[in-house]
Amino acid sequence: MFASCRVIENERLGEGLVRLLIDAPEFAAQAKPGQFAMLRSWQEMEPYLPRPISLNQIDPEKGRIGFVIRVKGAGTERLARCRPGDYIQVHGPLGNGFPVLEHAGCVALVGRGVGAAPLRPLAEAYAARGCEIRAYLSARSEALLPDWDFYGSLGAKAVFSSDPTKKVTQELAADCLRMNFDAVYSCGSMRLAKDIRLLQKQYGFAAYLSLEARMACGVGACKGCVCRTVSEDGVSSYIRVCSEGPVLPLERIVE
Amino acid sequence: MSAERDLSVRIGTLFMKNPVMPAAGTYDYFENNAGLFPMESLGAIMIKSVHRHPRPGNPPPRVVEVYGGMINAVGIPSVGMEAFMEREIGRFAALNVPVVLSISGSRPGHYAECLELLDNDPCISAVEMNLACPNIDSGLPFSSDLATLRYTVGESRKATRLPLIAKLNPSVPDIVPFARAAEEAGADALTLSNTFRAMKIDIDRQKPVLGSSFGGLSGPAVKAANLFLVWSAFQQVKIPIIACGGICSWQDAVEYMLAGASAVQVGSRNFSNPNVMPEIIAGIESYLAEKGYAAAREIVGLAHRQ
Repeated sequence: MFASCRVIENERLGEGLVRLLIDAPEFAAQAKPGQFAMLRSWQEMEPYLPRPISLNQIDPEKGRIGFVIRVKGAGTERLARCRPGDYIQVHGPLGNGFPVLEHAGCVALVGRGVGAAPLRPLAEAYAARGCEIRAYLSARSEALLPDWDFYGSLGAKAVFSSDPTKKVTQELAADCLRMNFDAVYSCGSMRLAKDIRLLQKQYGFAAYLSLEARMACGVGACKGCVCRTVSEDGVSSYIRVCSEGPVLPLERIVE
Repeated sequence: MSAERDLSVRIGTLFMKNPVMPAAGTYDYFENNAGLFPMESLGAIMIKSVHRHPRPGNPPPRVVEVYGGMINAVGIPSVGMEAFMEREIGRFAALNVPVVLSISGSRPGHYAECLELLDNDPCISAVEMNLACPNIDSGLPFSSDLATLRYTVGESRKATRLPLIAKLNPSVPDIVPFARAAEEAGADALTLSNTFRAMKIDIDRQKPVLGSSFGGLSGPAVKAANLFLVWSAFQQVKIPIIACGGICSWQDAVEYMLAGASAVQVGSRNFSNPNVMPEIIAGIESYLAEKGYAAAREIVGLAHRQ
């Protein structure tokens, strides 16, 4: 879908961090957790490219989608300035989302900072299945983490760290000793992803990582957003993060 | 509105019902359509450069936004010509729109080899030679050296009956001798031009942003400079010119046509507005109607009138 959609709400989450809710029934009906959209809220030629932003909310009933925007440059600054009633150009849903395992009994979600944004709709999907959810979240400060309260409201147990010496993957490692995770999902930190890979080798759970990349088109045409991956038979190749990702099995990214 | 305007363009045996097509590498047939419009509404579709031999492409990051556009250093990832013929060309069969294949090589002989392997395949209506890639032998882009350009286009001419479009590198002191050399060597048309050599440096990391340090600039920033190339070449060659460089609107397309372009390619603007090509087609048609022209070809080069 490529359409001009109305902004319903701009919620300030913290310094340089906002959540935009957008009226987009067609998009919401198709979207899956882990997918993203190319957003552009300006008519001028500058900034030249739209911005890839992951889905933070998918509400097919109300026909709404939500995105968390962290102001980093000229594009995100413009997006964060959108007011209710403004129209924004939305292209998506794009990419492959997180696989939701039908019979999972317990899953872990590991996210850092604004990178944790796509985990929210995944948590909702698992909560709707009655699956036990553990969230391991970190950020430089609580104000930089979207949805910290949300996981509790779903009945998920969530741990948070803003202490650089305390990695949330240490908590995950402790929980792995007594819990049996079917899958671990992560985004926002390659450092944490590497820790998860070590635990995956030990415990054998399925693990998925959502990647971030500089993108131009968002649909696979420009070949700009590649990442080096390893296939099952050990062959190394580039994949396009936008169209072959952004979610990939962790073992394809981290050896 | 004004359905009677004739927008068609002919380049040798390539017949396009309108002058708008994507620039190579920006709008693949099966990937970027987003269901927005039928591909058949375009003048032609363009297959991203197939290199003579397989290539992984450049290390990331491959794209960066800059003022007035973007720089790409994608580096022609390709399955290679043999694998393309074996596995991919079939999906372009029996489309209701002409298909232009972009080819590239690392040595002058590679282009003719690509064309021999293509063997005038009926899936393909014309071939665009991407002559901006660096020649391994000289280190220069193929179209930055007159003798190499003449040889490469001349050998390619002998290897195919398909219309040959020579896509030239803009980073030369004067485009005219290169445009003439391509024409004399047998090109049926010119694409003017490719991206302009460019780079960006991250001042915190104190390093080039792109994985391969430099790349090619595209977008509105190159339009005025590239328009001059089209203008200059139009006065000196007889073969049609396809403009490529910063076309973001129908006004840009019309400007290029007035400078001498018979057709236009839309590149990086597809990324920010995937609907831009049909918008440009409609805009050209409205412009012709408003100004009282019956056919697009009537405005080609009109700005040169005394």
